[in-house]
Formats: sequence, structure tokens, C-alpha cells
Amino acid sequence: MSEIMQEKETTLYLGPQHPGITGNMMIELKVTGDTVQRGTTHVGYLHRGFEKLMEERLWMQCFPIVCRICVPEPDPNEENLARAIEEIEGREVPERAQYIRTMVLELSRMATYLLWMGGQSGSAGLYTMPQWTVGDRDYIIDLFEELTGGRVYHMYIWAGGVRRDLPDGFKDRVRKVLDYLEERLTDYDRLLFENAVFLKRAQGVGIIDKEKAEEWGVVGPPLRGCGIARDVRKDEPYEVYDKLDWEVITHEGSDVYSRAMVRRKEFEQSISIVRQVLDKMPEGPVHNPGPNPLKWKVPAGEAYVRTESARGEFGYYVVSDGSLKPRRVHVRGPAYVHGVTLLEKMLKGMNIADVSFIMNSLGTCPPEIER
Amino acid sequence: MEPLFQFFNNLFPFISDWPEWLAHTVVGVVTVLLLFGFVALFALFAIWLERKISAHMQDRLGPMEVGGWHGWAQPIADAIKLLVKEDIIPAMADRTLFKLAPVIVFTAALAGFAVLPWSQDFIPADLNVGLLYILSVSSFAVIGLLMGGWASNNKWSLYGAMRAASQMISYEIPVALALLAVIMNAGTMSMRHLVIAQSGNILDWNVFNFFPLTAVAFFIYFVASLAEVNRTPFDLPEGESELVGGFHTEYSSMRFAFFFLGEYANMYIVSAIATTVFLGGWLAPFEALNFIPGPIWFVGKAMTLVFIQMWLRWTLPRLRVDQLMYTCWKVLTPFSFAIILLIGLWKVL
Amino acid sequence: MIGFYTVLLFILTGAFLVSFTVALSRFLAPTKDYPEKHIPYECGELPQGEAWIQFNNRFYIVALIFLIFDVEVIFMYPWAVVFNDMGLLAFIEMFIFIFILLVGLAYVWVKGDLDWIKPKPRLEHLAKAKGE
Repeated sequence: MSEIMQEKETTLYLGPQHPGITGNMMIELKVTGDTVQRGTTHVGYLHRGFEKLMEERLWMQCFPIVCRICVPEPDPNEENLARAIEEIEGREVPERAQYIRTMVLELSRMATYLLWMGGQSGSAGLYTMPQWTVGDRDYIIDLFEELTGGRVYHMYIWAGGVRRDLPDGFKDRVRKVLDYLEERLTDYDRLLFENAVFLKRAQGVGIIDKEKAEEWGVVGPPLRGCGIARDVRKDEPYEVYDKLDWEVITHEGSDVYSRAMVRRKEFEQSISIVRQVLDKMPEGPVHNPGPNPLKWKVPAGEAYVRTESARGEFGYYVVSDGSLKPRRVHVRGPAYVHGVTLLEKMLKGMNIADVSFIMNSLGTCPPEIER
Repeated sequence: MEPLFQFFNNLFPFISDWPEWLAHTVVGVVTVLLLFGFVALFALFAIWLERKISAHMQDRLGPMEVGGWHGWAQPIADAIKLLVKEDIIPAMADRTLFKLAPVIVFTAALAGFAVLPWSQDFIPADLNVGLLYILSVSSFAVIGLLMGGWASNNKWSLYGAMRAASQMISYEIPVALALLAVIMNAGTMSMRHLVIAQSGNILDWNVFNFFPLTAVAFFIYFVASLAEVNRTPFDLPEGESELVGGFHTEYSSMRFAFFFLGEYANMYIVSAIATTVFLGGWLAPFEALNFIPGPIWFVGKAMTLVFIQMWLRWTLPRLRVDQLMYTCWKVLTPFSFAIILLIGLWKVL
Repeated sequence: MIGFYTVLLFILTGAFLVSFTVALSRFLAPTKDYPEKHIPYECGELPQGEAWIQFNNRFYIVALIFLIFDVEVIFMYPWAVVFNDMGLLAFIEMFIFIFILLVGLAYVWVKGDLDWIKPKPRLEHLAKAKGE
């Protein structure tokens, strides 16, 4: 019946000012009834030109800038820049600093997953979850505040190590938070991950084609949600990930639910990784100091480094011409692939209700699209 | 003699001296004002309660400042704020319909209160078709929502209104059928007689009749009534992550407040219907508790159901529109038909 | 009939109270008007195209089905009231009535008009989806 009657297409703007969109971007939807025929993403509401800015800054001044590339998780960016510089300079990182970096990266992954859990269930209309997870995320943020002095932007990891050593008794406080979060995970399961209505909404929705996923450059939890075991931490181990006992988590299904389960299990795994790090962490210095930051010239050269962030693989391509400032810093983040090209492909034939649901499951972060 | 008139006559004997039309009008208007006050008070209380319940479920405190004790005056402050807000009507809106919509929604909700039996004596209008009346009046709200959404000249509003309309009319069928199951046994549609038929102790309540058939009917009614009043998991008409504000996106000031009031009044009405039809209305569960007056039982039972509605809102995500229609037409409707037939069979045999 | 008079009073007084409160609010509220306030909300963009659009016919089909069922339910209410007195005869009659109704429901079900369009991802790249 509906095939006979041609329906007229309507244009709906989802964003930049819409409660269901993560951050400032806009999706232009062409809909008939409540089926999306085409979705076009429009970005540009947040453009700040980080890459260009860094070409005008001293090397040291780049660290506060890279934090801003993705607000919920600044640490993978700092890690990337620091590792790229270390690779060009050939600077050694003390072992203790490597352990601390791993801990910070995993804690930041957990914080981001908590934020994501809230967003995912908020986009399905369950607003209890965001309140819980954002509240619990605060415990991790408190740890960061104690460790780095900053709650959101840490500027903790820098070339040659980390900025300062752990405060007294910090390890115990981390362990306490980990115990709490592990216990809390059962509450999350009961409220969201085992909720029948959530399963109904999430299973079979937002399917990524498994064969094409790698070709399109899908990374991180969305790729592992397709059942493809790819994780930079395993494929190209950095810091101390190769010394720890952990597995790459995958989930078959390639839908919103499998991505949710990948994140949920990785959250559990991060807890165990941080525990191992705390157990194995050696004593020693945390920083291998370089020259005076004002006269710091990185030798000419280039490096490409990768880090597994909570949303997927983050790549930094850093070129130095031997001067006080970087020649070029290129950021390759997951959000552009996920939030622009992949999202446009996935929106076809979807219900309006699922647009923000799918968008959240991909973990889009608009400021990173427009770094 | 009407129970309502008798009730007032007992309180103020002099009104029987007045001409009949005047006496009835005065009694009627006084009742409306009383119930309007009740609706307003209930809505304020329910808003406060919902905020506190959601807050405590979410590890928060909720409003704590205004009024001192647990922010009890917060909804009053909100109401005053809404009263002195600027009233904005979108430029291209259909102004007449835009203004008419909240009036219809709220009046329909208030008119539903006309047949609710608060106690043996106090029932504003004891119609012999009470239940049918309340069902038909509450579907008036759909017209108001459709009007408001269409008149706003906003796509989100139109989508919200369309969804609201299709959802509310669909779920009216299971609601009507579930209530029918009880009427078959009681043999009356008067709200008052429905309750009187349940006198006795808790096991005489309709929900325990033909166990478990009526209990299932009660469950079907409750689920469908959630959809009738647009509560989670059926709050699609105003799901903010999809439709921003749904049909009331463009409404502001007092007009928005009346949509809101109407929604809370409807929450109470569906709970009150469930109380009357299934849970023994103003009756106490045990003879020993008869000293507690009827209205307290009635409001208490209805408020318990309202609480469950709120509870569900903060524990369940929202369904998608195709799942919503599936639940209504392919689950609830066939089941309620089955229950009617089974009860009929039970009674005949 | 006095009950219906009370109902009429309810409707009239209710409508009056709403209008009165809205009028009161207009009297109390400030007006700081400028044209941008009256632009329909469209997520921060200027509205594009008509908001009064041709709408999906599925909504009207649902309305149609509802109408049929609602009329039938109205017939069933008086039957339910007198069911106790009529007994077996009433039951058989209503059984036939409901049976016809259910045949109608089954027909609509099979025809697929009860289905809201399920979101079927139309992924050209997906071989499986194309095959289906």
C-alpha cells in the first residue's frame, strides 16, 4: 500500500541545538513519515583549528592544546604527542612513568565509558543512568584532580614521562574507587544492559557491515562489536600493555547492543588492567627531563604513533624541521570516520528515534571531527 | 436525589429552600472549583514527588532549598514562574487553534473528574454510563494535542502530535476491552455501583475475581493506560532525544502549564479508574480498617498507582514507534479479547 | 439527568478557569517582543519548507482501524451490562460478534497494516540485506 502512494520528503534538522545530539553538530534528515531516507551530517559549529594552532606554538605549548581535541578524554591525545616527540628525539621514558601512563590512560577510558553509558541510555529515554554514571565518573575525576591538579584537562603526560609522581597513598585510593566501580557495574547491568526494553531497542539496530568495516576505517568498540579483534594495545603494544595480562574483547552482532557489550566488558577489563598496573609498578624516577622548554628544539624528523582511546584508534603524525615549533601535527581521530561518513551510511532506512541512539553508540565527539 | 446534592444538603440544609436550578448550579460550580483546586494541588504535589522520586532513584537530592523542608515549595515557585512568563505564539501559527488546544486538553482532564467516586456520598455526577463517559471524555485530549501540534507550525510539534494521536487512539482499544471484562461481572457502568459491588474485604475486589483473568485485565489496563497518558516507556510523543518537546515544543507560559497540568491530571484519572474498577475504590481492604474514611483510601490507592507510573518512568527506556504499535495491536488487544471470552465462558458454565 | 447537567458545568467552568488563568498570565507577564522570538524552533536553524506537510498515510490507517474497533467496543458495553441476566444466549451472540471482529483483526494483521514500518536498514553495500 505504502509503495503505491508516493510520500513527500520532509527536511528535519537534528541539531546543532537538539537534546539528542552529542555535542554541536547537525544532521540534516530527509524523512518520509518517520523513516529516514537520507541523512547528511553538517559539522563546523566548533571549528577551532587545533592542528594549525600548534604550528604557531612552542613544543611545550602544544600539550595544553591537544587536551582540548576531545573533551571527555584528553589523555590519549597527550600520550600520542608525547610518544611522537619521544620517537623523534629518541628520548627514553623511565619504567615507572610508563606504568603511570598506562594507569592514567585506562582510568580515562573508564571515565569516557561511564559518560558514554549515560549518553547511550539517555538517548533511549532512560535518564537514571546518566545521573548514576556521571556521578560515578566524578570519583575518577577526583583521582585525576589529586594526581594532576586538573579535573578535565590534565596536561599530565608529557615528553619524557609524566609531570609528577603519585601522591602518598594514591594507590589505595585508586583501588578503593576500582572496588566501588566493580560493585556498581552490577547495578548498571540491572538497570541498562539487561533491561528488556533496552535489548529490544538495541538488538538488530545500527548494523555495520562486517566485511566493509575495516575498509571504511571503523575502529575501536564499533569494530570490535563486529567481531573483529583489533586493538592497538595488542597489535602494536605501547607503554606496558605487553607486560599485562588481558584479552581483546569482541562481540558478534555489529549492532548497537554488541557495541554496548564491548564497552561494558572493556570497562570491567580496564579495572583489572589498572589493578595489575598498581601491583607491578616499580619504584624509580617518573621523568626523563629534556632541555629548557623555551629553547626546546626537537630534531628534524617525523613520527606516526597510535593509541587506543575509548572511541577507537587515535593517530598522530608529527613532523619537526628542527625548530622551536612543530612543522606539522596531523591528528587522525575516530570521530570523523564514525560520526560523518559511517553515520550517513547507517542512517538510511532508520527510524527518527534511532538516529541519536545510533550516534551515541558510535561514540561521536564533534570537537574532534573539527580538530 | 443525586448523591452529590444530598452530600451538600447535609452540610448546608438551607440550599434545599432555593429554587432547584439555582441549587444544582451552585452545588455544581462549587464542586468544580473544589476539584480544580484538587487538580492544581495534586499536580503541584505530583511534580514535587516526581522530582524527589527521580532524584532519590538517581543518587541525588532533588530540590532542597525552596520552602525549607525538602524543597516543598519548589512547584509553587515553578507555577508562579510560569504565570509571569511571556506568552509566545509562533509567527506562522494558526492562532485560534493554538490558543484553543490547552483549553481542550485541560478541560477534558477536568471533566473526567466529574464521575470519580471519592466516597459513598461524594461523587459529583453519578452517571449510569460513568465508565463510558470517562473513556470518551479522556479521548478528547487527543483532539487537543493534535490541534496544538498542528497549529504550532513546527515539524517537531506535528510529529509529536501525530504520534500522540495514533498512540492514544490505539491504546484506547485495550483499555476499553480490559474494563469491559469487569463490567461483564458487575453489570453496571456507574462508577459508584462498581465500587459498591466490591464491598467486603480485599478478596472481593475485582482484581481478584476469576483469578487470574481479571488480574491480567488489570495488568493490560495499566500498561495501556501508561500509553494513554504518554508516560515512559510510551512517552514517544514527547521523547526529547527524538522530537525535542513533541507537541508542546512551541508552547510557553501558562499555555504550556495547562498541558502539563492536564498530563498530571490524566495520570491521576487513569489511576483513579483503575482504583475504582479493579481495586475497590474507597473501600478498605479489611473490615477492621473501616474507621479510616473512604476518600483517604481512594486517594491513597490512586497515588500508589501514580507512584508506580513514576517509578517505571525512571527505570525503563522508551520503545520505538513500531514496537509501540506491535505491543498494542498484536499483544494487548488479542489478549484482552481472549480474557473477555474466557470470563464469558466462566460465567456461562 | 442532573448528573449530565453537572458534567456540563464541569466543562464550562473548566474552560472558563483555563481562559481566565491564561488571561491573568497575559496581564502579569512582561512583553519584550522582537521578531526572532516568533520563529518556529528548528534546532537552531532557520525553518525550511512547510511544516504543514503531507503526512505518512500509516497514521490514517491506524485511525481507521481504531474507528472500527471502537465502534464495536461501544456495542459490547451495553451487552456487558446485561450479560448477567441474559446468560448463555448473550454469550453465544457476542461470541459470534467477537469472532467476526477477530476475523477482521486477523485480516488486517495478515495484510500487514498493523505493522508500523520496522526500521529496515537499506544498506546497498550489505549483500545480505540486498538478498532479502
